[in-house]
Amino acid sequence: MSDSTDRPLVEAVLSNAPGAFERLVREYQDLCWHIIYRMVRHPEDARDLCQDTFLRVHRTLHQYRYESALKSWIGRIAYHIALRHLERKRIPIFDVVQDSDLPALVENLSDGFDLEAAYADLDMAVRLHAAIEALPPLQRTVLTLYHLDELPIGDIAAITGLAIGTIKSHLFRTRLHLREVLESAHGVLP
Amino acid sequence: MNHTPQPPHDEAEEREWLMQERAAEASRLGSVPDDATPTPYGVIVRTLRQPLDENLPADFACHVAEHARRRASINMYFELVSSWILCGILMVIMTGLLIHFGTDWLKPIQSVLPLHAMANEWVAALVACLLVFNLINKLLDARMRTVH
Repeated sequence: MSDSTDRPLVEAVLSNAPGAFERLVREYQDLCWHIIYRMVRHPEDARDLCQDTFLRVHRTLHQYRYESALKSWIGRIAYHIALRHLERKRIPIFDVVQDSDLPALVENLSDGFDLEAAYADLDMAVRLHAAIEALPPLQRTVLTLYHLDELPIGDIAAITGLAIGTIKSHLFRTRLHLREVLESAHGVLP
Repeated sequence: MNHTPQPPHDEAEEREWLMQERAAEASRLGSVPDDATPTPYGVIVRTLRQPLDENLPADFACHVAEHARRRASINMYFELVSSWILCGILMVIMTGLLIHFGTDWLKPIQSVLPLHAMANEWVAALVACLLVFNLINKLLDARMRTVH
């Protein structure tokens, strides 16, 4: 959706056009769900938080100034609601990784290892899913927004309030980590 | 949490990043990369693109829209009640002021408006009250229109 499609929808919701808000929810519920479910992981909590997000959108839509895409604006609300939920539960949202760990990690990766073939093994697929689930909330969310929702890095930065370089770094390190998990599970890495 | 990770900066990391991005692009387009070099990230990216194991219920949008509508109408009702209470308080204050200072105000008004009816201070007070009442009604109507 772009400004040209956002504007009529926002104006329809603000003028209480029948079905307009439901249309808005339908349009953005997947994005909202991906952000919140990836952050909090608990389905019941995530559903409640998704509802809270859209109720807040309904209450504050008159404050939306078209300075960013509506998608980013709603995503930012969802992200902050999930973030506050995690803070209340004292769950850290990302791992502190030392930059000095990276070169060793990159050098240890095998060039010739065929992950495609290894993945045919069901156990490897299960391991990969488990590794994704075990990621810290922020990294999991960034990966999902980038790969599943196909959001550009700039939009992810707008949603999370992080710098573009930080998002790139999270993507890079997390995918590297997943590769390492798979290769070490297959006995390639020391 | 004060450590901000940095994007890839050396040659090996840059190569790794390009490999990751090539796999992501290929997966988006549903094709193999142009140079057909197998990338170890293909399986990772494909797994990341799989739908989540849980989803929102099918009637989520309808349910939330109904909830928002109910909440808005409750809020509007309270706003309306508060507005009426404030109007009532305003009327009481104005009546008190009129009773207390009415005669002082009437003299200059009478000198400007030579209407016989205005000679009676109670008629003037009534006209003032009606004017205020009409004004408040118009303001409330305008507010209701903006809420709807």
